[in-house]
Amino acid sequence: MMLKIISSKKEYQQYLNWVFLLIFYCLKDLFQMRWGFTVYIK
Amino acid sequence: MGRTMMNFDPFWTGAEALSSFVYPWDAETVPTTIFRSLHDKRHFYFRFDVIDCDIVVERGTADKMAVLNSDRVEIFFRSNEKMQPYYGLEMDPLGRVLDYKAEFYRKFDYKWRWKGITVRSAFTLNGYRVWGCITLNSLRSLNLISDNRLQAGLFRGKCISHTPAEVSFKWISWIRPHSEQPDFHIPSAFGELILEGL
Repeated sequence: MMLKIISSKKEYQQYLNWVFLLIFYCLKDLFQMRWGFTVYIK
Repeated sequence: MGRTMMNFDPFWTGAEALSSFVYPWDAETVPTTIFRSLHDKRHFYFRFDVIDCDIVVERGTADKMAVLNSDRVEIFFRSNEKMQPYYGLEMDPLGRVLDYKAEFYRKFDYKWRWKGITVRSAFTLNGYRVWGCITLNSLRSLNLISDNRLQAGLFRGKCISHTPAEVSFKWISWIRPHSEQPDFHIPSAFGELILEGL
């Protein structure tokens, strides 16, 4: 993957927005990931 | 996110691996079958890992009845001990699902479809894996969850010979049903899955 060089403050801000959006999306899912385990009874 | 992570091993960390499957009607050493399950607030997740060096599947059709002529793993759910009704999910190594509603004894409704299930499969180096999830809403709407418990049977059909006319199976089960003849469609084939923290 090619990395784009950030050349302006506006592009930097847009980049940060995407990063924050990604972090928020991941955290949102992580908080929903409260797995429950199963006990098996014969 | 759970649905997309189901095939990643870290997802299953901590899930108890149920490997005490037996041949109820044969004295041979049983091939390995491992079942795992987890749940979150929306889904019941399950996974079968099957060791099978001679996998048989009926190819060339997406018809769900083709599962009956293939190696497969099975989960039955029942809402009460009378099995009135009970529900079957039979899943083959190609990810086809034979879903049906049934009533004791062996009154099958194959036209019935289970809305709210996702099933995937993969061939592994020494067998196959079937994993999937069922929405808790669908389990509740079918009265299959009671007091955080599911009454379920876990089975596997291992194809031992096949001709164009007939496919023969050996049957593997988590529980040894009280039957002299191979039969999973009876009350004693079921155990309980307690969904902790639900």
